Amino acid sequence: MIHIKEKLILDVNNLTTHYFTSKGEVKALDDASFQLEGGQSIGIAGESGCGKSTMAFSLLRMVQPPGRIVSGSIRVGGLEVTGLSEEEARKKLRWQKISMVFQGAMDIMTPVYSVGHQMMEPLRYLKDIKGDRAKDICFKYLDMVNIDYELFYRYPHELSGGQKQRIVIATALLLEPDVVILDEPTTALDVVVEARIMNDLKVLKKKLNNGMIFITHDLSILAEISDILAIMYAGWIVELGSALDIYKEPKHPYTQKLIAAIPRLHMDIDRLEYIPGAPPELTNPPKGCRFHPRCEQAFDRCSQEEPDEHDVDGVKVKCHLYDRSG
Amino acid sequence: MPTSFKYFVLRSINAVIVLFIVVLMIAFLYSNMADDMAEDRIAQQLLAFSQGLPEELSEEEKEAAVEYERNRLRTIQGLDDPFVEKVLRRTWNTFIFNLGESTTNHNYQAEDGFVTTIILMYLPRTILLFTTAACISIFVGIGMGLKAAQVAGTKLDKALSIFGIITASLPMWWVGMLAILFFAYQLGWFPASSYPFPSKEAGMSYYTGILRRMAMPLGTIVFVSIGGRAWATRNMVTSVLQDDYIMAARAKGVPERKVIYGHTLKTAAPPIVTSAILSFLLSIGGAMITEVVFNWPGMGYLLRTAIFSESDMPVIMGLVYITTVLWVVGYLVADLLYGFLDPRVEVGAEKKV
Amino acid sequence: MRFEDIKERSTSIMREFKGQRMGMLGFGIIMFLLIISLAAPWLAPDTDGLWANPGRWSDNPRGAAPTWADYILPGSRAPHDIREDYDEIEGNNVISYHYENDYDYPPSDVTIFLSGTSSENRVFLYIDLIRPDDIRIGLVNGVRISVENGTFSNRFSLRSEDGRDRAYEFGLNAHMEFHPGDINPPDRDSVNTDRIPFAKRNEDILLDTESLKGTYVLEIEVVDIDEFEDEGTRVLFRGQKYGLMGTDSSRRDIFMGWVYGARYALMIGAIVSLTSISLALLYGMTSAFYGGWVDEIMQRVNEILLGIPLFPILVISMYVHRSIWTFVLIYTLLGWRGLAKIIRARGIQIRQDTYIEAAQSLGSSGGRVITRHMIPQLLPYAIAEGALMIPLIVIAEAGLSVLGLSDPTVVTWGRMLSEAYGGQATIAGMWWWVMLPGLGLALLGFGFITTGMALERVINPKMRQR
Repeated sequence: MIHIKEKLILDVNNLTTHYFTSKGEVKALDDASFQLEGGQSIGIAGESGCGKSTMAFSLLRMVQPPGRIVSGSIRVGGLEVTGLSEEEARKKLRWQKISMVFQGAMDIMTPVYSVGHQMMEPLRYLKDIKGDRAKDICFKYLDMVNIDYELFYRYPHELSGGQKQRIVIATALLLEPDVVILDEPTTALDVVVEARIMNDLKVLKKKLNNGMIFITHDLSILAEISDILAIMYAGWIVELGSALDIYKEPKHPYTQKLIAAIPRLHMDIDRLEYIPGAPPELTNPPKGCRFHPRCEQAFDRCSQEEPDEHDVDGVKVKCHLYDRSG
Repeated sequence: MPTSFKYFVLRSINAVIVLFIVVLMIAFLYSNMADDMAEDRIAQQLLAFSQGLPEELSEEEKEAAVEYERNRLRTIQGLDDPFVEKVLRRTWNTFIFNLGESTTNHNYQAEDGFVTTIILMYLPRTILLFTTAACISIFVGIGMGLKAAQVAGTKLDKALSIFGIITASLPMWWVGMLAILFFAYQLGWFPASSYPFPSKEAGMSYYTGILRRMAMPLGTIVFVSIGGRAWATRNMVTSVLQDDYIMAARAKGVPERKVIYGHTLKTAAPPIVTSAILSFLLSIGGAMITEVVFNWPGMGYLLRTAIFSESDMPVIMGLVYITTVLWVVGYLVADLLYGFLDPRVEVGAEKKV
Repeated sequence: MRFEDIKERSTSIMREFKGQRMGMLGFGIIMFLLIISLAAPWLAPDTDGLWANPGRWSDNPRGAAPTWADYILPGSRAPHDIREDYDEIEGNNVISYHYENDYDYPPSDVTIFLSGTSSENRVFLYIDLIRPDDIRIGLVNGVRISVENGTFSNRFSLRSEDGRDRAYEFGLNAHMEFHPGDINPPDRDSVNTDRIPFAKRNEDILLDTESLKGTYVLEIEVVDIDEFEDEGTRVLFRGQKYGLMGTDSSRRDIFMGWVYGARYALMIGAIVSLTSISLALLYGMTSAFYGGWVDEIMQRVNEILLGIPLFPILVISMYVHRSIWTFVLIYTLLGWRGLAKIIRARGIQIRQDTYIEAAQSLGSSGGRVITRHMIPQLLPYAIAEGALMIPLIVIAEAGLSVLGLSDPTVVTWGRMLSEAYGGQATIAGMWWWVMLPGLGLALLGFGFITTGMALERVINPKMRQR
C-alpha cells in the first residue's frame, strides 16, 4: 500500500511557450522555472495577459494552436511532459498526474449532460471504471467538497455557481493527481461562497497531500493558501519565493506595487495604489526589462539589458536593482 | 413530465393565436375585393334573371322582381352585413377550411371546383419536392458543417464558407432558370418543363418520369440551401467548441471523438435543428417560385396560374391559408423540438435561437 | 450621446472595416450599384414608366444578344444598323442601301420606314433585295399607297406577313431545285423565314440556313414620286447583337431596364431595411430599458408576431394592391421582429454591465445608459443586420414578381425575370435575358451580405476568433 512519492512532484525548468500568430510571435511565457513538493501549494499572480493561463495550459499540454511549447522541460510526478504525443498526454498525463479547475464557473460544465455523467467521464475514459463503482468514487469526493448527492443527478443549469465550482473541484480530485491547477477558482462567485470554498480547499490540501497551483490576479486570496508565490509580469516570473517573505518584504518593484494595491481594512481610500500604464504587447515587448516603462525605480540599464535572476534572502528576483556583481 | 406538457400546451395555444391573427389579417385585407367580385357576379346573375322573366310582365313588375331577386342574392352573400361581421365570418370560414369554390371555369384538372379539392391535388407534389429537398439539405448540410468545424481555418473550411455565402445571396428560382438554360437547353439532359405530369396509369414509367422531372428542381433547391446550412452549422459548432466546458472535457481525458459528437454536437443540436427547420420554412416562398420556373405542378405553380391567367381569388386565398398553416405547424414543431432537445428550456424561459 | 463618441466609434469601425477584404469587395459592389442607379436617368433615358410601352422600343432588334457575345461565343453577329441616309439615288425615285454582310448571324430583320412627297394621289412601291449571288428577291412588287396632303408613308418589315411570304417563296424555290419532287416541303410556319433572304442558296435553305456573306443592295423604287423626304426615310438592319445587355423579345433594352432595376432594388431595400432597424431599435431598447412587466408584455407580443409568416401575407396584400409601396409597407411591418428580439437581449446585457457604473457616476440617469452605452453599441450592430436584410428584401420582391405580383408601373429585376419566364427565354436559349437581371440580384446579395458580415466581425470581435 505504501506508495513512495518522489519528493519533488512538479519540476518546471526554463519553460518557454509562444504563440505564432499572423501578427507575429507572442512571447506569452519565457524561461519560467519553479518546483513544487507534495503538500505544497504555489500561487501564481499577475495582471491578465501576463502568461498565467499559458503556464497552466503548458503544464496540461493543452496549449491551443498557434501556440506551442518552444523549449524547457516539465516533470510531473516523474513524467516528462513536453515530449508526450497528444494521445499519450490524454492517457497518461491529464487528470491522472495533473488536473485543472477552469476559470469561469458559469459555463464550466456542458449544459446538456447531467452532473453525474460529466463527473464520471474521467473514470470511464481513463480508468475504465463505470456504473456503481464510478458513482461511489464520485460520491466520496462530493462528500469532501460538501455537496449533496442529490445534485449528482441534476443538470448544470439547476445548480448555483458555488455548487458547480465545488463539483468541478471534486471532479479534479477524482483520480488523485499529483498536482491540481486552480485557475481563478472563485472569481465568478460572491465573497461569502469564495471564503467557504477557500477554507475547504485548505482542508483538502492537508488531507490529500497533493500539490496545488493557484492562479489568480487577486493577491489577497493567495496570502492565505499558498506556501510559495510566483509573481508574473509580461511572460516572466519576476519574483519567486516563500509567500510569507514576499508579503512581508516584496523585492521586485512590480510586486511592491501589486501588494500596495491590495485594499486593507482601516485604510484610507486615498492611499490605495495603482500601477500607471498597461502591460506591454507581447508580440513586441520592450527592450531590456519588460517592466521598465512602468517602473518608478528604473534606471538606464533597465531599458538596455534584460535582468538576470538574483537570489535575495532565498527569494529569486528578476531585477537589476539586486545585481550585486556590478 | 408535467413541465414539458405545459410547455407543449402553451406553445400550441400560441400557434393557434398566430393562425387566427393571420387569417383575420387576410380576411380584412381582401374583404372589399371579395365584395366587389360578389357584386359583379350578382349583376351578371340579375341580367340573366331579367332576360329570363316572362314577356307579359309590365316594366314595373319586372323591376320589382329584379329588385326582389337582388335583395335575395345580396342577403345570401351577406353583402349588406356590417364590415366587422363580414370579416369575422370570412375569418371563421377560412379557419375551418371552408374555402369555397373556384371562380373560373378552368378546372386545374381537378375532380371538382372546390378549392380544397384543387389544393389537395397540388399539395402532395409540393410536399414531395420540398421535403425531399429539405431532408437532403439538412442532413448533408449539417454533416458538411460538422466536418468544416473540425477543420476550421483550413482551405476546405474557407472554400465551404465562401460557397455558403455566395449561394445564400442567390434567388433559388433564378438558379433554377440557369439550370434549365444549361442542363435542359444546352445539354438536353432533363426536360425543361415538368408539365404535363406523367399519368399514374403508366406504371413504372410514371415513377421514372417523376424522377426525371424532379431532378432539376430538387438539385436546385438543395444546391442553393445546402451551403448556407453547412455554414450555419459550422458556426454554431465552432462557437460551442470555444466554450470552456469543451476545454474542460478535453482536459478530463475525454477522447476527441466523444468531445465532438458528444459534448459539442449535443450542446449545439437544439439551435442547429431549430434553425434548420426555420430556415426551411422561410424558404417555402422561394421553393414555390422555383416550382413556377420548372413548371412543377405544385402549390407555387397553382398560385401563379390562379394569379396570372385567371385571377381566381378563392384559390389564392386557400393557398395563402394553407401556406400559413404549414408555416405555423412547422414553427410549432421547431419550438417543441427545441424544448425537447435542450434540458435548459422551461416554460417561459428564454429561447436561444 | 456626444458627437465625439459617435465620430470616434465610427472612425474606428471604418478603420477596422478597411482591413476586411471580402467586406471591401462587397462594399465596392454596393458603391458600383449605387452609382449606376444614381446615374439611371442619364444611362437609361425614357425608361422609367415606359417599360411597358412598345412604341418606346420599336427601333430595337428583337431578342438580340449583348454585343460582347461575339467574344465569348462562336460566330459573329450582325450589329444593329440604322440608316438615315441612302447610299445612292437614281433619278428621283430609286434609292438604294448597301449592306455588307460579314456575319455568321445576318441581320434579324430589315425594316423600312418610307416617306416621301408626291403630287399624285397614289404612288406604287417596289422593294428589291439584290444578293451577292446576284439573285434579286422582290419583297414588294408595286403596292399601291395613297397620298394624303401631298405626302405618303409606308412601313415594311421582313418579319411582316408579306415579308415572310416573300422570303418563304424564295426559300421554297431553292428547296425545290435541290429536292426535286419533294411532295411535302416544310410549310411557311414551321420555317424560320427571317434568315432565308441572307442565306446561302443550298439544299438546307429552309431548315438550317448558312449566312451568305457579301454585299447586299436594298433597292426601293417609288413610281410617281416628287421626292423622298429628307429625314423621313429610314432603314433598320436590325442586329443580332445590341448594347451592353442585349434586348428581350419585346425589343426592350435590357441594360436600360437593368439600370432602373438596380435603382428600385436599392431604393426598396434601403427604405425597408432602414425603417425596420429603426423600429427594431425602438422596440428592443424600450423593452430592455424598462424591463419588468413592460418587457414581459412586449416580449410576449413579439413572440406572437414572430410566428406570423411573411410570404403569404405579402402574396395576399400584393394581390389586393399591386404596388411597390404595398410591398414596402408590409415588409416593414413584419421585418423588424427578429432583430428587435436580438436588440432587446443585447440591450439587457448592456444594461446589466453598465448598471453599477451608471449608478455610481455622478448625475447618472437612465437616459445616460441609453445614450452613452446602448445606442453606441447597438446602432452599429443594427446597421450590420440591416445590410444583411437587404438581399432578402430585394429577392422577396423579385420572387413575388415571378408569381405575377409586380408593380406594373416600375421595372425591377424581378419583373424582367418574370417576363423572361413568360417569354420562355430559358427554353429559347436567350441566356442574357435570364442571366443578367439575376446577376444584378446576385451581385446585390453578395455585396450586402459580405459587407454586413464584415461589419459584424468588426463590431463583435468574439466572432472573429478562428
